[in-house]
Amino acid sequence: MPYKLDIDQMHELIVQPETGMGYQYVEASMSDYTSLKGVVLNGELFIPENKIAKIMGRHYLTYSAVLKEAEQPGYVRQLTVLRRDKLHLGESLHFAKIAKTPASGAPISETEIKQFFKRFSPYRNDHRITEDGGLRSGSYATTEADARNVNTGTVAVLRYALPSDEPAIYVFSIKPPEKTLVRIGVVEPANGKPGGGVEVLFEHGSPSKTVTGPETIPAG
Amino acid sequence: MKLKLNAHWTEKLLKYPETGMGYQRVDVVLKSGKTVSDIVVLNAENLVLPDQYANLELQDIADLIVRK
Repeated sequence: MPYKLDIDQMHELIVQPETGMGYQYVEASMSDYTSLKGVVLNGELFIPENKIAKIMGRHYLTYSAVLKEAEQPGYVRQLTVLRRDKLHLGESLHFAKIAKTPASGAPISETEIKQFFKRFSPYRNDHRITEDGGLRSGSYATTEADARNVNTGTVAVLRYALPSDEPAIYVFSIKPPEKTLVRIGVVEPANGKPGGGVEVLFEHGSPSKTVTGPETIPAG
Repeated sequence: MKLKLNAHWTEKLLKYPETGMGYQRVDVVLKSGKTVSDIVVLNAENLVLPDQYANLELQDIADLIVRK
């Protein structure tokens, strides 16, 4: 259950630096004299570490819904803002930290169940997609989340630093089995393009019947 | 200038990792002994050659080595 903070606590927190955009890591001394680490949202709502996944996980509630369900002020006696490295929230829950390096230099990680990826290609007959709907070893794609930044084939060319200026209008969807080995990184500037998108290198590809498409997006 | 590769070269290239989404960087070893370095191959079938190699033909190629 999250806990609302009182006005004095809110004033105390608001003058201290955030840990990240809109939140602070804290250690809370509770009214029962237990001590809980967790996160404070918007300087007003404390969520203990062990409740974060449930409340803020994939099926997250809206902030207003969480606020509505929160305990009234009085449960939290004192708060201490923590440095970022004093708390590790959900790192193991997130699908692989995205290395700030190209995928080729990133550590190996495993895909999670029901995780989708996208491959943008100028070629309908993309040779990296096998005839039985698999993906060949050593092929690149991007995450479903990063693909949402791409609405045209030209954007794909720029974001994934593709060498040809031909718009990558064909979009293949990849749904690999759980625990497929991948490396995830960031596209470096190359080929006269800025890069910056997330790239996923499928170390051993993906088996048959895991790739569908292509769908077609505008050229740009 | 694009030189379209045949099935032999495409099949070989598909055994190697991509450099990025949809392309590989290769060194083109010619039968003359010369190597043309760092050439882009698109979709494992289109060799993108500099203009000075506009007259290059498939039969001139001894090997394609995918760069790491």
